[in-house]
Amino acid sequence: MTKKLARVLGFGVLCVAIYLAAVAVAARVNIDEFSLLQHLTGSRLEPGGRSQSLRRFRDAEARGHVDIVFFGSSHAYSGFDPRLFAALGYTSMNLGSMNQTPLNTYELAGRYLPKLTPRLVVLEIFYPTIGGDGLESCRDLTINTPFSWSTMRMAVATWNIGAMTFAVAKGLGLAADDAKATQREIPGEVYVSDGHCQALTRRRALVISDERVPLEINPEQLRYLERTTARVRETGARIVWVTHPLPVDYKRVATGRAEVEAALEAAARRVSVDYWNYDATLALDPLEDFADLHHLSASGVAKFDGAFITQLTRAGYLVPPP
Amino acid sequence: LTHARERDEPRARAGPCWATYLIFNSLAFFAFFPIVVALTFAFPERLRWVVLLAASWLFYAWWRVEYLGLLLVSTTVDYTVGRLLGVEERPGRRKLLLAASLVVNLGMLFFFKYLRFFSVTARALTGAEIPLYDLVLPVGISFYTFQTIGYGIDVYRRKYEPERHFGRFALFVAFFPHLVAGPIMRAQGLLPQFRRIASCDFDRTVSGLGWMLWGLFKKVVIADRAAAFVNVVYGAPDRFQGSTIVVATYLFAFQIYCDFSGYSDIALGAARVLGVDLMRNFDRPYASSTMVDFWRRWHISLSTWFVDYVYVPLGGNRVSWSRRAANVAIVFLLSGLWHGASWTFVLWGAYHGALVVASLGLGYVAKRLLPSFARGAPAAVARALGVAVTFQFVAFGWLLFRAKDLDHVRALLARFPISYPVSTLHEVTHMGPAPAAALGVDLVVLVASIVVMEVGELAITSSKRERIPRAVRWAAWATLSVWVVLTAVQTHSTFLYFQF
Repeated sequence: MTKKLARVLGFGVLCVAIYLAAVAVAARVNIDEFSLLQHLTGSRLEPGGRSQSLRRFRDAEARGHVDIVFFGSSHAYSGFDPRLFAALGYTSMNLGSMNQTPLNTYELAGRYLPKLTPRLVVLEIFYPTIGGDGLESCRDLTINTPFSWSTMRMAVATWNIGAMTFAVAKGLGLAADDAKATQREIPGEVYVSDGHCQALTRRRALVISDERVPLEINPEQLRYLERTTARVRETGARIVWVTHPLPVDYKRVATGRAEVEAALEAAARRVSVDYWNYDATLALDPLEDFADLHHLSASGVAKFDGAFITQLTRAGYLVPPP
Repeated sequence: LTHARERDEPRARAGPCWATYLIFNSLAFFAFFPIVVALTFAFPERLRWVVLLAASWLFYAWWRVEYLGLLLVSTTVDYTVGRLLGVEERPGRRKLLLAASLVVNLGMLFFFKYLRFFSVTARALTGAEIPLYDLVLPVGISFYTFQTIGYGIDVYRRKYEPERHFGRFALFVAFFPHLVAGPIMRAQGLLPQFRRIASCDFDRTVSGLGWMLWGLFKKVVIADRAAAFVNVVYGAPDRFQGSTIVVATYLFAFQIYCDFSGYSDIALGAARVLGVDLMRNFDRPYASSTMVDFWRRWHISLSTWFVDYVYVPLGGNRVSWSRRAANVAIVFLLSGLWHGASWTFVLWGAYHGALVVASLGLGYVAKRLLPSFARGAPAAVARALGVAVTFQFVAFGWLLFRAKDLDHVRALLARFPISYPVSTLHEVTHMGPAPAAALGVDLVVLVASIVVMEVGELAITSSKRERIPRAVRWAAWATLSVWVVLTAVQTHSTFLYFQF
C-alpha cells in the first residue's frame, strides 16, 4: 500500500515538475508577437489589450477613495465620462474591461472595492455578456493587472484550462509582466482619465446585413450578477444596473433581446436593485451618437450621461459630497 | 432532427459545459467519475450494480431527462422478451417475440432518426404534402438499440441464456461508459461481469486511467484542433483551392478517428477503473493494407454486429461470389444508413461496399493468378503500398461522410482542379480571424500530436511494451498529461458519434 501511494505521489510530483518546466519554457519562446504560452493558452493579447486595460488598472491601483465606481464591458469605460461627474463634484473610477461579464465583475469588485470604498457602484450590462463565458475579459485582466488570488479564482471560474495555466504562469512571474509593459495607443480612441476612453470618431453608415447574432442567457452569469450585487452591498455601497442605448441596426441583427431583458429584469427584482435600461427609454441618433455598431460616440456619451445623471439625482443616488 | 454536421461545429454555448452535457471531455465528468468510483467500491459487491445503474441513468438524464423513458422502454421490452423466449418453445411464438423486440427497437430508431429523412424523400418523389417533424435525436439511440437487438437475437438463437435480474439487464443496456457511443457490447461479453463486479484494484485503476488519458489526448488535442481547420474549409469550400480541401480531408480523417476512438478509449478506461472490461473498438485502422483489413480495425463492435446479425444470416461466405458481393453491398448500405439519415451516408456506405467487394475480388485474383514469389518476397513493400493506397481511399470516403449533402459533395469536388499546392500552406494559415502565427502553432501542435499518437498506439499495442522500464513509462504518461493540459482545445464540443 505504502509503495503504491509513493508511486502515485511520485507521479503527481513528476507531473507538476514537467508542467512548471513546460510553462517556463513556453513563456520564454516567442513566436511572432506572442509567447508560445500565449498561443497555447489562447491568451493572444498584447499588453493593454484592445481596451487600454493596462493604463486603466494602473490608475486604479494608485487610487484611494472615490465616490462612484463603474464596472462593465467596453460600454462602461467608453460610456461614462468622469469629467461630467467631476463637474458635479463626484470623483469616480471606471473599471470596465472588454467583454466584462458578471463573473469578471464579481472578482474585480472583491479586489478593488475595499480599496476604492465607493458610495455608489454602477454596473453596466451589455446583453451579450449575460450569455458569455467571461474568458476574454479574464485573459485581458490576467495580462494587464498585477497578479492576485482573484486572478486565479476568475480563471478557475471560467472552467478554461488555458486561462488557468496562464494565470498560474502570471502568478509565478513567468508571463505577462504588467509592471514592465507599456500601453500602446489605440487608433480612434483616447484615454481621458479615471479609466474612461473616449471615441474620436462617429460612424458613417448603418450595418445592413441578414446575418443574425443570437443573444443567449447563461444562468451562471445571472447568478454572478446577483452575487456581485451582494458583494457590493457588503461594502456599504449602493448599486444600480444600467444598459446603455443601442442603435437600431444592432437591435435588428441581435435576436433574443426580449428574453435577455426579461431575465435581467427578473434578476433585478430578485435582488431589489434598480435596473435602468436606456436601450428601451433613450433614443439616440444611430449615426451621430455612435462610434460603431454598439459603442457611443462623444455626443452619444454626453446625451446618455446627461440622462443618467438626471435619473441618479432624482432617485437619490447622487448625494452631494460632504 | 438536428442535422449531423450542424451539431459537430464547435460553438460557444451558453453556460458552463457541465450545465448541458455530462460528457467525457467536460470538467463535470472529472467530478462525476471519481464520485461514482468511490461509491461503487464503497458498496458491497452484490450491490455495486445499483450504484452503477443509478449513475448511468443520471448520466443519460443529464442530457435530457424525458428521453430516459426511451431507454427504459427499450430495456423493459427486451428484458421481457428475453424472459419469455427463455420459457417459450414453440417456434412460431418465438419468432413473434423476436419480431416484437425488433419492431419496438427499430420503430424507435426509425421514428427519431429516419422519419424526417424518409418523409423528405417521399415528398420529393411524390410531391405530396407529407408533414415533417423536427425531433431531437436521442443521444446514443443507435448504439443501445443495436445492443438490445443483438441480445434479443442471441437469446432467440439460444446462444445466450436470458438474464433474470432486471437491474443487471438494465445496467447492461445503460452502463454509462459505453451508453452513448459504444462499443456495442454483446450480452456474453458484458452481462456476466455485472454478476460479480471486482473490488478496486491498483493496477486496473492505473491501466484504466491511462486509457482515459490517452482517449482525452486524442479528443481534445487532436480531434478538436483538427476540427478548427476542417470546419472552416468545409464550411465554405468555394473560398479554398482543391489542395486545401485535400489537406482538410486528411485532417478530418484524423479528426474522426481521434474523436471516435478517443471516446472508445475513455469508455474502455472508465469501465476498467470500475472493474468492467469493454472490447476494443479500434485497432490502428489507418495501418490497414486493404479495405477488408480496414473494416476489421475500424468500429469493430459495429462491424462484427453487422457480420453476426446481418451478413451471416444473409448467407455469409457460404454463397456464390455474386451473392456474397450483394450481401456485402447490403451490409455497407445499412451501415451507411446507420450512421445518419442522409444520402451522403448512403453514398459513403455504397462507396465502402464497392471498395470491399473490389478488395475481396482483387485478393481472389491475386491468390489464383499471381505467381507465388510476388506474394511472398516483397511483402513489406506491398504492405506499405497497401497502407498508403488504402488510406487514400478511406480519406476520400471521409469527404463523402463529412459533406452536408450531395450538393456539398459536388461543391467540394468541383474545387479539386483548382489546386496550387505551393500556396496551400498560406491558405491554411490565413483562414479566419486568428493570426497566421497562431494557426501555424496549432498546425505544428496538431502534426506533432498525430505523430505522438501513431507512435504511442504502436507502443500500446506492442507485446514488448512491458519491457520499457517503468520509470520511462511513467515519465511518458506524466509528459502526456502535461501536453494535454497545455494544448487542449476547449470548445465545449461533443463527440461526433453522439449524433449517430
